[in-house]
Amino acid sequence: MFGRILIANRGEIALRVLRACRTLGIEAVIAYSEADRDSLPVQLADEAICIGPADARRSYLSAPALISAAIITGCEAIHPGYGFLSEDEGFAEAVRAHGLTFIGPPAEVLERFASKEGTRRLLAAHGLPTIPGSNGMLRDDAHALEEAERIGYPVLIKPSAGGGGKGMRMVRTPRELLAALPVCRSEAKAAFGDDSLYLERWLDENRHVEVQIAVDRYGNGVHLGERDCSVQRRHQKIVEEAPSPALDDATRAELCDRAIRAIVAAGYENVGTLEFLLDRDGNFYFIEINCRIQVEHPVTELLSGIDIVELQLRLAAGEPLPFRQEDVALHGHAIEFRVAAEDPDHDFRPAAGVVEAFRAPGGPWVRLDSHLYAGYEVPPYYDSLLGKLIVWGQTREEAIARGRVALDELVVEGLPTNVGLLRALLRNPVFLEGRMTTNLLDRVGATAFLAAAARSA
Amino acid sequence: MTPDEGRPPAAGDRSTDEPKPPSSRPDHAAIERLVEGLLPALAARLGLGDLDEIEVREGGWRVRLRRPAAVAPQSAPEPTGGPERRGASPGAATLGPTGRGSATPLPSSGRGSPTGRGPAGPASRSSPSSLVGIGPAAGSPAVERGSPRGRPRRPVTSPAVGIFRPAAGFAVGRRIRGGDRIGLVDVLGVPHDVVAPADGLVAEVVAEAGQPVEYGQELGFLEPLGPETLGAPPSRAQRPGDAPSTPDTAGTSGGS
Repeated sequence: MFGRILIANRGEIALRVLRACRTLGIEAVIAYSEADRDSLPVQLADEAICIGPADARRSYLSAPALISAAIITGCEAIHPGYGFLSEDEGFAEAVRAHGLTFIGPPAEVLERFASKEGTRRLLAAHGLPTIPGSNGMLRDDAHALEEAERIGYPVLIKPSAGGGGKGMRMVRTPRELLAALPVCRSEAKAAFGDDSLYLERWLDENRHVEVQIAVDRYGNGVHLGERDCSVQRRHQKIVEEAPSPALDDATRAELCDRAIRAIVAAGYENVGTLEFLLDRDGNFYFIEINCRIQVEHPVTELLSGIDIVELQLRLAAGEPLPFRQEDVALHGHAIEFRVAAEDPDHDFRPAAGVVEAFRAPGGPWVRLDSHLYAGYEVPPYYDSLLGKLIVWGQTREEAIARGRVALDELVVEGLPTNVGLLRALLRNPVFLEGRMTTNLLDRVGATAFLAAAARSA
Repeated sequence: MTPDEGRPPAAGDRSTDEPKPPSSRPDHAAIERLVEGLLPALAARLGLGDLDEIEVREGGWRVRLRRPAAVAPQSAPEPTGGPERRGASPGAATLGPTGRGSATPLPSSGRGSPTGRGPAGPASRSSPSSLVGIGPAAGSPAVERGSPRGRPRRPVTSPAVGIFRPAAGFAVGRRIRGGDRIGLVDVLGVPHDVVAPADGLVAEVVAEAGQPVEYGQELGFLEPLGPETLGAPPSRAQRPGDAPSTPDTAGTSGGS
């Protein structure tokens, strides 16, 4: 096991990785930008090293700065967190070339799964059903029209190089397709440096269900069950839970079993998540893989009792999986609420500012993964996630009840947040009945959703 | 950083010409003597008000006590002595060994802090002075230096995280001009120039050749020169980084 690791990330995930390291007796060095000098993970780390200015391109996205920092502080490995360089095969390779271990899949595995369109084809070849989609990247508008005709409208235009909603548009007609293509290309180029696009059939009323997997260096793999991430706003997850209310036991078993078989056969390594869409008939289709720790990993941790970050560290250190599939037991129900600095009065645009008051909820089976503290200045340079509130219960109803109490106790003042939206979700009949699909919020818009909930409260 | 002893080599050991962690252990008895005996005396001396800074060397250790500048430049980065070391008790100075030319960064306490409602941390926030840059120096008799009050010094800070390599002209007493390259920071073999932020005399060199430094770390300090003392710029052959030069005389044309 590593003696000292550099954490190449920030905010709540840096804190999460730090806690895993300290629990295992591993020394952790945090690499931080000037904007994060006063952040909680920097304060708690064994050592902290400033690597650059606030601009992520010169700090958290700078492979030389991160690797240089790791070497001069005597680290043996680098944990990249999520986002930033966590799935960058060039970074993983550079880390390895400098004699350090990259905590995650090795570079050649990241490269194999780098293209979303290529991954779809690879895992289809290993037996996973995939959404009907374009063969290869869209060469030009004519090719796009041809493929859309073949797949059948409505279609979703997706960027191959990244996620989070950028460069994605759903279109219902050829005219809409032609109008959307240049917009998607330029958004994708700006966000990921790559404007390659492909098409997928759009499933109305779909649900997003993903499977957590872990594979060691020796070809042993396990799944840790699924998570339902259907509550989204513009393709960004807001609430996640497990188990998925949409699956019966037979479908659940088949989904998870096929996922782990395919990903082991495709040569994956370390921890990852396979994302699927579920149509209203209960058919599932693979859409993409995330080759890193996921934001919503705590949901699975509360169900399984397994520390997934610790698992990442052990697998990266070359240890075999410490348990077999039959040892994995999933109990109860867990729900995660993403608390974000977003302004509900301005279309949930990201906000920054000083946290003037902060109160963390507590009590049995209430977990808060957050880097917030009273007086902390949330910087404007990075994503808007302030933390995750995760609750567990024996049943979904119990988890919801606990979530309601915890969200009432939670206080974050001084800047706008989405806490009102989270509380509104817990009053929404569709959510309470577990029937939510991915357009729950977008169908009317989150702002209207919030207003409607306020009226009915 | 922890001492290297007892740990088996990691797979993929780094090449031997890269900096290694120090092999010396912190001398806890010496540290205690310093903390209990020397520091209160230094703090009292600083409190007399005529000095901004005191440095004392005792045995293998060097201690520097600095009063924060009365007027800080708008854009100056927070003073840091290097990658932060945790674990000190509240209100105490952070001590640690540095070997000459070794890979150990100089620890420091005193850093930009959140408001008083922030979580308690080991760094003291209410002390009037900050303790910076403690560590063993090459053996030398006790030396005391101070700088006269009222001249805010400009820090020269690192533009990158890596290994500092000063140029020959970056030495105490040398006159340099704003924009001069006074050294470089080696980031995985790629040099990043360290550039003087203003005209002045090198008042102090804090970082040593071969020392690992972080982004924004203070490498040294310039005593800004007023217009009446600037004199002629150094000739081309006398610019820092070139061969050592004889001092200019006032009025001499710099040549070019």
